[in-house]
Amino acid sequence: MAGISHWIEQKIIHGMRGAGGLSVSDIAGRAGIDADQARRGIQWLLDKGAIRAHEPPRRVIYLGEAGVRAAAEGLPERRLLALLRDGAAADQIYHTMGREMGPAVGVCVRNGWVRMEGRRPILLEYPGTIPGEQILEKMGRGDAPGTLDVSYFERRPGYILERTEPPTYVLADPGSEYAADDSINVEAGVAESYIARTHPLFDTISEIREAFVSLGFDEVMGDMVQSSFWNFDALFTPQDHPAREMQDTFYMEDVRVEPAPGDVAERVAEAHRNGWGGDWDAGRAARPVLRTHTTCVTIRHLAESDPQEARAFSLGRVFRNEKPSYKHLVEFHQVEGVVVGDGVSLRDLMGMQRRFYHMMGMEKVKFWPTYFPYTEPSLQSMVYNNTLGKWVELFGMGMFRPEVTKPLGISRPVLAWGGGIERMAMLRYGIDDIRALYGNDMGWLRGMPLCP
Amino acid sequence: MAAGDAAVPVVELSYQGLSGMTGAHIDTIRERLPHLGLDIEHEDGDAVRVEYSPNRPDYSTEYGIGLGLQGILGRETGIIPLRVAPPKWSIRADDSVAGVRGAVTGVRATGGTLDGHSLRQIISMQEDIHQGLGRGRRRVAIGIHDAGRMKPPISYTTVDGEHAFTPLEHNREMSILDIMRETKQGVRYGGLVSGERYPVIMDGTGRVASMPPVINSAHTAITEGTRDMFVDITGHRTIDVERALAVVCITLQAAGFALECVGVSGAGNRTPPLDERGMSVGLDMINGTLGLAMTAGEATACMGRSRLGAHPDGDMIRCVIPPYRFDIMGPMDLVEEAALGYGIDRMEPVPPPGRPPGRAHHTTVQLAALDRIMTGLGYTQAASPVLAGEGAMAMAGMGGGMRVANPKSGAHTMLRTSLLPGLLDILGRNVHEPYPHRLYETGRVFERHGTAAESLRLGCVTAHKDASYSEIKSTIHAMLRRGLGLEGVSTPPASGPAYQPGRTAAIWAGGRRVGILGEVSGDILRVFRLREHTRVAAFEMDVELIFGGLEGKGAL
Repeated sequence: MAGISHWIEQKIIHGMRGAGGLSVSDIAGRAGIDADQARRGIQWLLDKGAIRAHEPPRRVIYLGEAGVRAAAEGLPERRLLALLRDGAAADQIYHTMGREMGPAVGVCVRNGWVRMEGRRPILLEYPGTIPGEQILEKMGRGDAPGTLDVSYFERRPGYILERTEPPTYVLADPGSEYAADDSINVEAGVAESYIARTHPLFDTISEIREAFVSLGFDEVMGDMVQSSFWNFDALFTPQDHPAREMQDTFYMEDVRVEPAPGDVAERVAEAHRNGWGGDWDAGRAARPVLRTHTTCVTIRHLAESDPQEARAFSLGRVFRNEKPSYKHLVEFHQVEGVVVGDGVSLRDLMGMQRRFYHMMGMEKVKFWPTYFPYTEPSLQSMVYNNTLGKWVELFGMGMFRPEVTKPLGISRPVLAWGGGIERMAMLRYGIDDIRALYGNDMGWLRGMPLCP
Repeated sequence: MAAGDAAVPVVELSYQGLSGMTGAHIDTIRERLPHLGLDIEHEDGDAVRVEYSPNRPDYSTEYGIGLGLQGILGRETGIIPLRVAPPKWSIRADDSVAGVRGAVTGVRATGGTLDGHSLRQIISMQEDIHQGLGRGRRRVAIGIHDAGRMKPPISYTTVDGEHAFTPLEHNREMSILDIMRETKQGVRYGGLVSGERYPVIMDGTGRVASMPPVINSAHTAITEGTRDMFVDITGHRTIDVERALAVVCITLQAAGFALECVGVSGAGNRTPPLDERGMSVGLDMINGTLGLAMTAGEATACMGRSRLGAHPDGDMIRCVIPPYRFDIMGPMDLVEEAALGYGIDRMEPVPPPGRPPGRAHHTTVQLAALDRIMTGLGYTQAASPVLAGEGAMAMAGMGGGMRVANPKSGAHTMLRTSLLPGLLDILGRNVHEPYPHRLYETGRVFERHGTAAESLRLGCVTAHKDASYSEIKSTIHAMLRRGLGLEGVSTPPASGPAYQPGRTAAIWAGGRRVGILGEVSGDILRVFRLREHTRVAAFEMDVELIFGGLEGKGAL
């Protein structure tokens, strides 16, 4: 039996198995669905012939409140007749029956069992059975067929009530092949399932981290709120450099950051005075900033450890006080690796970087000269992107200037390389608006391939 | 690695012009430009716009770039001497400029002719120097004049605000005070000379040629056809104005003008020496740094291609550096010059030797475990910003965090103190997506206790019509007990902003309070624009505290 595939249909079929005629609400209850769903599902199944009508809609009657009482205590007319038979006076009858007495007298007079003499009822006949008593007996306490003659109770509200029972349904053929083996339409569409997943950007970040680790780099971490000293001064960024101005960097209010050790600060100040001229202001260096690069973390790590030989990297969020656009974000991620050692050359770093790109699936790599304030020489790496059909600028690299390393007590040459990560994620996922990475659009997250 | 430079300067060049200077084919020029550190930004026929590095203001014109190209193409190598004739003109600064804008220098350029193209190049150089080296004209301002309309001797002095002249691009005389109020340049740069007295350059007849650093006079403006120029440069330090002068000199010389020194005196100023400098670098340092094995002769040739003077002297390369190359501070800069002269494209990367892998930070390992657990529980990772608006935090009943001193936008006024507002914001923006929505995020939050305090949190929300306390508590149990093997997980009643009273609890694990869980209150859900039938349960935990409870257990 083809076509029984929708989950509502399946639930209905399962719910109806082994039962007799079931109404819509019975079916909804047994299938665990709501009544609307049941109604729809029943109609589909009727159309498909999977179920059939068992009983059509039918009228049923049942006892109302007065009827229930009469069934228990006797009809008022029976009680009146009994009192008259036992010789009760009118006052006594009224006392016993109260307001029921009037209608009971009316019924007895209409049936010729009693006549009135003035205000006094006189028993004419004490009937053996009254039709109303037969009706009550036939009906019992449940539903009775609407075809039963209950005209005796006409115009006596509260004795007999009626309602229409909904139609009922049964499985069309309980012994059929369908019901026996649960076969379904295996080609029908099904409800969508979504894969819970890590964020595509963080997947790229994890992959980059693994590449650094496998190249022999140890990860270091640092705070996002840093002193201007570590973010700028230690990197030989002059104190009046445009990058330090309010419109490019987020400065934090009302917080202190740990000051640089006095001897280190003094040597850095000296380097600034020699290199850039003018005065060096310790107050400016103390101002807390949201780090504008991860270099402040790596350089601080090196300043604190002065390793003879090391490979370390730092990866994390950085901040620029810029207007967000399809190209730029206020917050983004950077990675930066440093290589320390006497025998390490620029060509070694180029080789390491080329290996890194190969690990990330980027085959064509070339290098151009560029400028960074704190490295010399400085190179820019370019990778060829097949989708875009052009060379794309990725990580920068260079050797930390002696003006940076010497004052910090770093005795060995330091080569650094790294850059923004979002660009790489955009290339990987074919995104042309960087904001999509942080949009958290559920449709986008659910739609991104896990293995791009 | 990041340049950290807000605005990268751009210069527009003509391929024909560069071809004329170098004799090279346009395709060769296009291919070589990046090897000078110039990024091609845009090409339109013969015109090409390139970004150049702010440490090379001599690349602010086609002329400077042409000289660089001659070098790396090997057409013309070695230092380009500035040929400066002895002074005929002079600038005399009087003492009143000291403390106002005390440093001045200048040069005269004769015997060339400005056409439309060279005029645009020179103005572009002037603007780039103003922005970069000049730090928005504060350190350096340049006035370029038609010397044919000036009479020597030149004086540099101050006048009061009533003094009047006709400013550039205007056709009537205006007082300095009016210029400050009414002209674009006056409004923009007037603040750099706030005081009673204003510095001016005057010619021998007492006519104002410029009012640095604000505006020049219309009378001496250079135009197409100008054959004789006078340049004044002012600032606060001799070193700054003389550096700018060196760039102006090499540019005008390359543009076909003959340079004539200007005698400068008064207020501590001097006639600019425009001297070359000597600096040496060891061949070992060059080869060791770059990973090359050049001979002294080869290294010397590389310096020449970078337009430096050089000769070998044993193991040393003795270099001569022209005055406009003040970016060269020490021997390491000479190593880079050698690399550029050698050609980065000729430097073959050395494959890294085998080396044992490094290690990810232990926090990274912990976060990776949380990623596996949360995705296993059916939660998808979100990525929210650290910077938040106070409004957004207040919407979740939170505040009191670290504030940004200089926000540009209301969305970036503070650092988040909780992950929950960001997650609720995501839920509010995704009401059209099929439910359930189950999201988590790991990231830093920031508190202010006098000093900055950063901590790492795990936040999590489940949103659908039947989301409940029980569901999120079940998630927490699975995460802490099954996922991390923590014992003693309990949830005593608690309260917290954004959570529904009576349906909120603290999360205790491993003997410490690690976070909060609960149903998010209906009021908060309405504020975040969730639909009426959607319910949200959430939790937030401190990652370090969770893993602190695992110490010594070896669970990771």
